[in-house]
Amino acid sequence: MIPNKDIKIFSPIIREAYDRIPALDWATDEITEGIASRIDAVMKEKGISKKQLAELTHRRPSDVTRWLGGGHNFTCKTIALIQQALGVPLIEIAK
Amino acid sequence: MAKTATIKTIEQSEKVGLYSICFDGNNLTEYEKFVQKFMDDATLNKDFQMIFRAINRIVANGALERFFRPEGKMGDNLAALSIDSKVLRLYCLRISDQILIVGNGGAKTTRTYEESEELSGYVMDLQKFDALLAQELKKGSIKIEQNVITGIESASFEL
Repeated sequence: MIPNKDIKIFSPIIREAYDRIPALDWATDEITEGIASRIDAVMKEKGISKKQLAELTHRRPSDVTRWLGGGHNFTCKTIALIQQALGVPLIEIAK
Repeated sequence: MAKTATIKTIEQSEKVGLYSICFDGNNLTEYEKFVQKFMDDATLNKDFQMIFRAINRIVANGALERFFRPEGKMGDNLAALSIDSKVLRLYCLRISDQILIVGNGGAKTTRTYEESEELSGYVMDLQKFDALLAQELKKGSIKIEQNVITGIESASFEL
């Protein structure tokens, strides 16, 4: 299944590979990329570098690189850790 | 021995033009070969899907810097995808936020790609192509217009 209909695919083999990815994985990607994009926006807004976020969270800079990559499967604990370090919420819980 | 290569459009969105290199005598581009090689690989399928989904994120959102880690030398455009996979690598040239040229890749079994004949071969092909593309852009025979490289599909490159 191709998650975004606005994407034109010119290769049959790439189309086949798209069709083999389960819908649940695309839905997961939407959430993980949403969190990564939010972290990136807050870092830019507050002028926080990757190195600084690594220091604030007591993680390695390579961990921050992976968080920002958009495909990282965050645990609730990691989200809470980053929220605490950045001082803003990353996700909202529907009530 | 020099290899002749052309460039083919793989995917196109409003945000990104995704291209790959096709060597003379091959039906598939380097990226299509990578996909064909790992799509059915039971051991590496999870890692392959991670990479394939990362490419989709790029096509949907832009070839943003945060999606990549630089892999090459200072001043070149060589990058690898920033994903959780520790095993599989796919190499590409991030030309801009809107243009990505994807090459080939494979399982990383050595500490660095330089120690692997296969991976360093893919990297060298991309680095050579990167330099040739820069020359053609300077000459004006090929132009980058937002998410499209105009004139590239009719050009051929001696790598």
